[in-house]
Amino acid sequence: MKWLRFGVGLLLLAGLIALLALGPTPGGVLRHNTEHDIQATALFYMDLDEMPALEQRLEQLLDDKNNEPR
Amino acid sequence: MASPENRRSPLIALEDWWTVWFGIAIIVVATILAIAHYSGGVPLRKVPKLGDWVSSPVDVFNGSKKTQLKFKNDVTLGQLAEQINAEKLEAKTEIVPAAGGVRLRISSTRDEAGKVIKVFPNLMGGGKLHFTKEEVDPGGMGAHAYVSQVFPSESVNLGSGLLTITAQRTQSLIPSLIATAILLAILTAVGVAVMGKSAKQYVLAFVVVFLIAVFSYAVANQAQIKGWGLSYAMWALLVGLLISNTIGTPEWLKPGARTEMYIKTGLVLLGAEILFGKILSLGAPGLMVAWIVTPTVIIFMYIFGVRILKMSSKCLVIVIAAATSVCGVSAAIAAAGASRAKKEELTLAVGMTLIFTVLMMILMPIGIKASGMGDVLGAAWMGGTIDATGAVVAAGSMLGPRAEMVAAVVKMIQNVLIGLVGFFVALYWVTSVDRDPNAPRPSLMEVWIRFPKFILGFIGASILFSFILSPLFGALFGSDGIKLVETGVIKAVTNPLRGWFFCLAFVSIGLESNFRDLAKQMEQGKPMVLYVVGQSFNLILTLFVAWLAFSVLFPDVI
Repeated sequence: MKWLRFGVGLLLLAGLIALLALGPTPGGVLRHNTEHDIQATALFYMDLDEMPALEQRLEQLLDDKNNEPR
Repeated sequence: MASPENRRSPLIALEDWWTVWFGIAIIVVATILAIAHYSGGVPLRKVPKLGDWVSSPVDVFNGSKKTQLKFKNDVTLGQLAEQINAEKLEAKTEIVPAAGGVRLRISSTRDEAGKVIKVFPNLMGGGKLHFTKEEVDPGGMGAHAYVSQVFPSESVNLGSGLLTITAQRTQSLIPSLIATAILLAILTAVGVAVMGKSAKQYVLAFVVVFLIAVFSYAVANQAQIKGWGLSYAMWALLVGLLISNTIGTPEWLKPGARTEMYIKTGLVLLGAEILFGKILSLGAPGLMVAWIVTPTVIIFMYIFGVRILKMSSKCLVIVIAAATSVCGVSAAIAAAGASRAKKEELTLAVGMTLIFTVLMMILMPIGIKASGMGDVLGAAWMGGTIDATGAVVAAGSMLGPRAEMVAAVVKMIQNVLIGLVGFFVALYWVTSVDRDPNAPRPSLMEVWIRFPKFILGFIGASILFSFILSPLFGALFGSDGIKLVETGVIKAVTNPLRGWFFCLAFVSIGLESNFRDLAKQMEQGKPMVLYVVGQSFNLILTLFVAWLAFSVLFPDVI
């Protein structure tokens, strides 16, 4: 009986994975994430590969802003 | 008479201390490897991170390789193409004819899968080289290539600079993955053996727990699932829960399910990532949004949960409060470790935060766009409220490139708070929550004895990396010390290992939990009420402070 429960659970898990991996992506954000390969799973800022580039671009933007003639 | 167990020094008898030793050992080795790399040109050693599951699960074992090509001397377009092709990536670089000259074209060798390649060429030759993304298969799998602007010939000089390419690599990750598992097993087995458990039984079980962790990472890295923001934590928990609640966790597997050891070691390593130098990245307004709101929300939620909702577990209240106000799963782990929360309490908080993060990631950009709110204000609002860092970047990206930067950096500044939250929660628990109300105020010595020692490792790592290693690397290698430490020590070793430890922890939590205990934590839905009320308060307060900071006090900051 317990192995049957395990089998059913495994099937449900596989179904969930298949649904999320192959099913529809509601809303623009999920499609945008997939198309642009955004790491929406990152738990901490260091997990993001793009973080240094984002920081650098922001730094540049702030510098440009500070150097603007007043 | 004292038993031999009791006569042993706490430094080798307590798991808390062992997690500090594990963290120190990893940090020392990582630092030595980075110094060797920066001073002698030795290749940088990296702990593997699984690659993306693009078209088949096997893809994850190919990993992805971020290659930075540095050109100190001038290079021509033709030389650049040759250098990229020499990198053994699943990418081909070619010079293609175009009207008025030639273009450089970088494409995946697996065109059926669009996620295989990314190019960040913006630093090449001081901006001389630009790429546009070309859809190879419009409407299909989203395959794309990167094509440069037109140059008169391939002998044109591009100057010097930096070109970053991230692509799937042809070299298999399996050997380095096996090496990582062996090293982790040996390192932790030493501690387990000294603490009086069977190292042999532990290692056998560890292998299976590690394999489940690999599976969890692989699912989380599936191209479309990655977009949902459902991290390895959820998959690790689900697999563990499936085993423990159906066939039951086998006895031989239990020695490998050492939740606390993995969590605490992961937290010590997380300390290395808390760089205080980051907090002024966005100046005063960023600091205001991240650092004024967060403690206010934690205190509000704690009081609301304990006094108004009268929840029976203060640990559960603080874990949910930290997850909601700081940075989701990682903050929940830190608060759970600091308050010695139960596994089921952490599971519940993580489950709630993952679900609400997906909802907020989808709904907030839609709401902000519909309201006509400015991109910077909207980004700061999302950065301060959406729990998970990845989801913040995803939502920010929907509002545009400037919003993506602001949202990510606000979240990063907030992430740094996790160290202080962990420390103060541990201190408050030792001095107040865990104290007998009838007992006198505890002495400093009692506080020291009861204080969770891994928190010292957590804070110590943060101080070491922020105030010692970063300036030291800057002085030794004459560049931005923070960036050198980030690339050479944290990104290469401590961050991926922290990820493995957290993943092992979530597998273990699943293996040690059962649905009946989880259901008991629900207390007629009180945790859900706490989350919803706390997050609503967070949304209102963050919007007000973000508006004050970015629209009233510092409107021209960006």
